[in-house]
Amino acid sequence: MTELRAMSRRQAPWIAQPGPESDIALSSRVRLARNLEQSRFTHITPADELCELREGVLVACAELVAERGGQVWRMEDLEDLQRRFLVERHLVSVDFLQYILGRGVIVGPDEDEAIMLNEEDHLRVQAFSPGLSPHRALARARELAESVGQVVPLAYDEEFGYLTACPTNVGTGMRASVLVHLAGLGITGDLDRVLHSLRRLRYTVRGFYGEGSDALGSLFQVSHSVTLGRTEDEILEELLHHTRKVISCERRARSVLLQKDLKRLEDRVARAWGLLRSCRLLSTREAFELLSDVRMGTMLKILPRMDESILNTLLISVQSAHLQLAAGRSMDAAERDEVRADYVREQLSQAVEGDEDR
Amino acid sequence: MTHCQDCDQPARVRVTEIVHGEKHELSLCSNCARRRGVLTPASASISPAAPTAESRSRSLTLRCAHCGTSVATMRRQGRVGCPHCYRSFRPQLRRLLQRIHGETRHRTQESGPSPQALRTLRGQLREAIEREEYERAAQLRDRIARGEGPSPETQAKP
Repeated sequence: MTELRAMSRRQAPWIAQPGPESDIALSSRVRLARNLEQSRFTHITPADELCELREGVLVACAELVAERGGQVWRMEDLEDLQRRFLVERHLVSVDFLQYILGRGVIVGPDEDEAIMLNEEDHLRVQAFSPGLSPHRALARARELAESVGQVVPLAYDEEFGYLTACPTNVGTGMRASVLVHLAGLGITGDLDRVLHSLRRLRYTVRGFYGEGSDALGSLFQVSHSVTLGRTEDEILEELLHHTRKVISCERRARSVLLQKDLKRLEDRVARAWGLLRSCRLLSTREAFELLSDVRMGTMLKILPRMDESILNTLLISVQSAHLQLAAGRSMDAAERDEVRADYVREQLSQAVEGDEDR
Repeated sequence: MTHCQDCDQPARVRVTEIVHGEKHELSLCSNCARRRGVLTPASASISPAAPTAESRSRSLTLRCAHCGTSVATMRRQGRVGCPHCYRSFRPQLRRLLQRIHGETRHRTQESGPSPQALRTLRGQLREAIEREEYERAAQLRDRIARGEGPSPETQAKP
């Protein structure tokens, strides 16, 4: 599994690269749930049948996967560390690791497309794009889902649309989300109000790692919940509308902080920067909190310009499975904190130098 | 019936809260209400939702011919058994979807044929070629290329 180790040292373009509004909206994701016409949904299918089903899909899609340069991983073939790495990489969901046997994932060469096999639905086609660009992610996910639909018969009903294991996903089978960085709202204390108003619009707000994860580093995933009765484009237009409102709230919060509390903001950002560049032990949680302040500080030009792709990549690569896979061995928490501190110091030096070179 | 705004389960509790002088109405299921600290486990059990006539009807024992899932199991698991369940339990699911999404009918982006219709057309094209009915095959090929659905008379065929 040297491919995974190589991946752990690479940037993930969908979060590293700049895109529309990417000072606040880091990336967009679209997931399309699809199922095989003749099979029971995964929650009532025994593991041996799930394996058969997966192999059948892989055979049918072999040409497609090869054409796109995709890689296939069967979850039971991986070690626990490697599986957790895929979660940290956002290529599979946290829930995906609840059951191992019979599940798998196909990943595109740039990691901007992936298909989870036998999660809650037989197929979950996903695409990612940098910044606030859900239409780009949708175009990609749809094209991939259509290619798959040509080689495996997908469950579709004239009235209900794409049929899914959970009725909350039926119709388009789509869930689109935008990853936003709301550090300013966290400081001004308006975060709860903004998140609450999103929830009242029947929008879901989750932490960086989806369902059940808390808001590490002021990063939130905003997504819609309706999937039936509206077209994909209509749903995305509404998502864009509400996300733009959230972005403008965050911008307002930041400008209030700049105008009314500049010294305190500068102090906070400078302390975070100082800590990250000199600490010798660093937990994941602290890394996220400090990186969040540094990221905002860079965007507000309180800190010198630096290579943002390195900063964004750190939000993924400071995590435990990444560090351990890159090091090629498992480590206990204390050792990880040490390696994490060294890694972040080294990366931030590169980020500053990298920008000076340009 | 309203739904829990956190998880889409049927709502059991309505809460009015006042935040920054603004009044907000929350509809929550018992689990989410407990999670938010609105309900204690004991208070949740005092007022179970009254069973509706509908939920007590015979339809609970209906089973999907394809996978054997019953309406009762489906309700308990919050999951449908297989794609055919949507056809077996169409009326029940229509009501459920109305509650979840406020709609029951999927709308497609393009006016072109659905994946289902396309599959039918491709199947007919293969048959026509096998039977060496090239004129019909050419017509079918053109229909697919023009993004049209199956013609009415061919669609009526089982």
